[in-house]
Amino acid sequence: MSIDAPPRQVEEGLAAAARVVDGHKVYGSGDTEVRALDGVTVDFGEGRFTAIMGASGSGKSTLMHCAAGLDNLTAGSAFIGETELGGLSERNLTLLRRDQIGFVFQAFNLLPTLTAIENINLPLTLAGRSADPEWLNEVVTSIGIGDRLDHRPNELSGGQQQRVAIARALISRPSIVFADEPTGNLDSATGGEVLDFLRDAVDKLGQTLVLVTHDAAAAARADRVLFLGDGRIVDELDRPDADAIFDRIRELGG
Amino acid sequence: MFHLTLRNIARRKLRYALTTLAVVLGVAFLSTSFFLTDKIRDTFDELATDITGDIDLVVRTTIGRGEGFNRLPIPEELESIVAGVPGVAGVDPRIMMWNVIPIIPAEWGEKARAVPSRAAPQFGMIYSEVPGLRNLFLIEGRAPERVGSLHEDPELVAEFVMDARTAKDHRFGVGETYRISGPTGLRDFLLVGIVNFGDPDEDKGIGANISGFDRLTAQEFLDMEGRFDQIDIAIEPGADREVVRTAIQTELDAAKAAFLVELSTMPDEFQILLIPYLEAELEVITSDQQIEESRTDFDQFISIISAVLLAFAIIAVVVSTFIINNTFSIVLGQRVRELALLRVLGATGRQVSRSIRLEGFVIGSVATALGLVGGYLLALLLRLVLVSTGFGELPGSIPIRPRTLIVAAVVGIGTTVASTIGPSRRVRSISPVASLRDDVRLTPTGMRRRLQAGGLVALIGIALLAIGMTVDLDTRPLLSSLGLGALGTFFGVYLLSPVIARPVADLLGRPIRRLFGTPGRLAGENARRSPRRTAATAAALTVGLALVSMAAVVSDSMKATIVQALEDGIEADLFVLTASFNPAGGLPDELSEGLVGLADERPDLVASTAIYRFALGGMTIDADPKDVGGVDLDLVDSHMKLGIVDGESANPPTGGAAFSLLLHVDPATDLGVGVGSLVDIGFPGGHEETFSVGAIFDDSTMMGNWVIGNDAFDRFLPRAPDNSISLAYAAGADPDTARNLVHAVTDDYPQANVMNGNELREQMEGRLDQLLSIITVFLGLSLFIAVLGITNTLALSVYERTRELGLLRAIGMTRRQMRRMMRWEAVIIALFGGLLGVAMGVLFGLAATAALPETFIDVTSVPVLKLALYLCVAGLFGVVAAIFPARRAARLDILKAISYE
Repeated sequence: MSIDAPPRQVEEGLAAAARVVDGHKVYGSGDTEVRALDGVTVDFGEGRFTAIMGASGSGKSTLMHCAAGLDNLTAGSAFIGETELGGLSERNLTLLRRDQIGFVFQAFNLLPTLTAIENINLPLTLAGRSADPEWLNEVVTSIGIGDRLDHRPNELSGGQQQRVAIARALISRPSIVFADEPTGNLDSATGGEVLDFLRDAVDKLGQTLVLVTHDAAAAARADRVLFLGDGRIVDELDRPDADAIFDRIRELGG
Repeated sequence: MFHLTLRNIARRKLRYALTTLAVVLGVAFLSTSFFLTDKIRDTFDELATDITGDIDLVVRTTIGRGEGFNRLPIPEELESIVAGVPGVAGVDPRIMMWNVIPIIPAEWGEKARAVPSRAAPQFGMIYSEVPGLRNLFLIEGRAPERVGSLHEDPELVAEFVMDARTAKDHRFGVGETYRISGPTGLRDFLLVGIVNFGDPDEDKGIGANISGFDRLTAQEFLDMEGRFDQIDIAIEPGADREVVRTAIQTELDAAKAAFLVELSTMPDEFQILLIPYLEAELEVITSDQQIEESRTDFDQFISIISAVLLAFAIIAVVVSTFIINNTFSIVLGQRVRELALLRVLGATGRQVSRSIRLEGFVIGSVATALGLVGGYLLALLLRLVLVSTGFGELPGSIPIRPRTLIVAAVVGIGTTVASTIGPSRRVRSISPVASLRDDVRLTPTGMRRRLQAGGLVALIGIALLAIGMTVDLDTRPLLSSLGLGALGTFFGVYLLSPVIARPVADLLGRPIRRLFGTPGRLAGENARRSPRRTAATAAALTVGLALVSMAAVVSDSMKATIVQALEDGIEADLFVLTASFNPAGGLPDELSEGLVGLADERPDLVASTAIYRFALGGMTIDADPKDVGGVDLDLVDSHMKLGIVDGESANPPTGGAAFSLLLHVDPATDLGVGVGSLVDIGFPGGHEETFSVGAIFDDSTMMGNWVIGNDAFDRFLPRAPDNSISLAYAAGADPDTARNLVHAVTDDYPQANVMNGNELREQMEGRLDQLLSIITVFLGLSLFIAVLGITNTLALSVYERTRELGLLRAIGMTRRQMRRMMRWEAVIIALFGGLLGVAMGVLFGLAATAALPETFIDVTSVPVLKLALYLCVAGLFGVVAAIFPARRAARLDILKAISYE
């Protein structure tokens, strides 16, 4: 893809909750140089559910890490709202993550020493705030673990743990939530419930969501799917179904 | 397997570095105590040999059991007798008098002051130049010469020489006139020369202040007219030492027989004065024997130092052992999956566990080597400290004995390998399947068994303590029962501590949570999530704080005892004490006379002056040495409240005895004597005298158990100086005026301290505080290791919780919050250890105070404020311990942390 090709992955007419402009990420140097991101420009529109797909080593995780302020770009810039991440001090970056970004990881999302409800509230208590009771109630009700809120993570099932993690990501009403393979450790039925729950968060709560996955079924729930290969965005599908995604993967892989 | 072991260590450098450091410190403290005591011993051995020089034989009086301080002098006539014996090449009479103190002159508004002595004697000696026998060697100026008689002219300025170190330290210069305080009083001397002691090229005075005078002046000034302490003899080359010795002994015996005959012709009052000398035997000993004696004397002294150093080293090693053990448990816990993988690949349980022990061995060896190096450096440092505090000089290199190396290796490697035994046994039980599971732990002994064992051991310990406190035991069983009791209690509590770690951590965490929000809350949770680890980590601190707290309770009780004794036991208004170092004290005669005279000069101000004497081991009862105090028995009641339970202090001797004795109830009960009973007392020189018991008292804090009159002291213990003086004001006298009167006499003697009861109490308290702070500093070294233990555990926890920490950072915990979380976890662990330590320390302290004799401790007192302060310090240690791991945690790379396995 040439540099002056139209930036297809920028969605017109939608305010971007986060964006990356001409992002480059290079690890190592000389012979061992790896270009994990090689000129990526992307917008994540507000209130939309974007999935990022790609094979291992395609750069999808790197893109998410850089967009979410967990990692720095070698060149280019990343924004959350109108804030450029590259210009932030370590502390401000941390505060930005705390207040404006939600995270759901594949595993180890919860602190074993805290109860479910304490885990959910953690981003707020770290900021020295308490949750808006109505919002808390809404989030907590939606994850449907009811009487297990006072249990510690090791007393919850894997699916319940991930739903608690998602609730935790939502509690501070972040501008964007990044989910990195959140169903990777779950069986498909439980995984499906978790994905439904994420979809609901977008539809009912208007949450912006970015999902990194290599599971076509998961990506099929997204509004838009970006395909990464060799550190570039190689394709994009709008509201695809699983078959369309499979086809595209096969094309790209072949 | 060995290769793998080495690779393991190399790969986990930091973790092992921390483990190693604990062993290194333990070994360092241990080896330092050996290095240093060896050095001190060598120095004194060398000194004993140096001073003895070419001396072959020594003539002196014999002495029974008791202290060499009380040895009787010999008459000067013996010098010519000995010199005339065939085979004798040279004789050198010697006097060594304590409490000869040069005075630093007043300068520009500063008052004159005595040359201070912290731990070394201040001697007056004869300067002689007998080849091979002399021990003062001129390095500047000339020898002191006889100027005239000090008796005939007290204003006379005689001559003296001084040791090089004292002269240098206090800037005494040849050609100047200085004042010296000696046993007879204050005299002025012209400094004519500077000398080295013991060696022509090097001052071997080890901190002693030495003044040398010509023979006659020395005898006059040092109150030794017509007498010497001993005569050193060199024999002619080729002469047989034993033959000469026998010849001298024969001459001495003949001389003594002749003396006894001569004495019988003298008036009775003269004979009576010489009674203690009549039975004194003269002996000729070889220099080897003298060296051996000084070694033995010195060994007693150094064995105290060495025991103290060793005790601290053992504490350090024990503390390190806790840390090593804990570290191994944690590190192996973190490696369970890796070890299980080895099992999958076909390693037997035995091989795995052997490789762990091998790791212990390698680490122990490296740490021992480093510890020895560290110990040597520490010994060099401590030597500097000792020298700068005036303890003395320890020149030359510090000896490295094979014994030191062997003990260090055995302890260093031994404790490390022993620490791996428990964990390595648990490792053996890891099943290969564990490598495939996610959440596996080593399973240590069940809590229930631990509870039972801990409870049992603690109960036995407390029972032993209780026995020690209540039952009347001999010293040895008493010490064993207290020691074992403390040990049992400690280990019992250690075994139980994981059980209480959780609730206590909860309790401690509560205020922290309230004050420090989520990081505080997480800190509390982290401290209680692994109670076993928290307990093991805190244990090191517990040991240190238990000891410090115990010392605090004991010293506080001693202080309370002294305060009470001074409040209840004193009638006198003012005390005069000496600041110089001498077990017997020592005030010049002229000072005592001046103070005694005050009652006659100003009866309106001073009612009476009492002079006290003291002789360590100065008398024997059935050949058993006793410390004895002397005072004017007619006066003592108006100066001291001895708590007379029977008889009168001033009771005249009865039953044909010439002297009266005051006796504490304890020895009185032991001997089965009462008022009017006769008691036979042995004195130096072999004389035995019968005393009648005049009174029995029950307060021994001020005067000790045995009190006789000063007249008896003069007669039987002629070498004992005036130890201290007290004055009772006349009724209605103005204290300030009376005190000024006393100062007018004492002002010339800078070494004399004038104090009233309150000031005396403050001084005693100050000394105890000083002692306590020295002990605390030493124990603080073990606390230092304990801090390291906390650091270690936290650092390992950072590894273990890497993913968790990464998650926290990802979802918005700031670095500062993370540091705060680590810090408060450390504080909770430290406070937990501190609480246990202080609680046990108080218990041990109470046991010790109950067991110690009344003379030391009669009142029990717990210094609550001080203990609270210790707890705060423990918390502070937590803060310090957390610095490094907190920084590490805060700097974790978030991405790597999240994906860490």
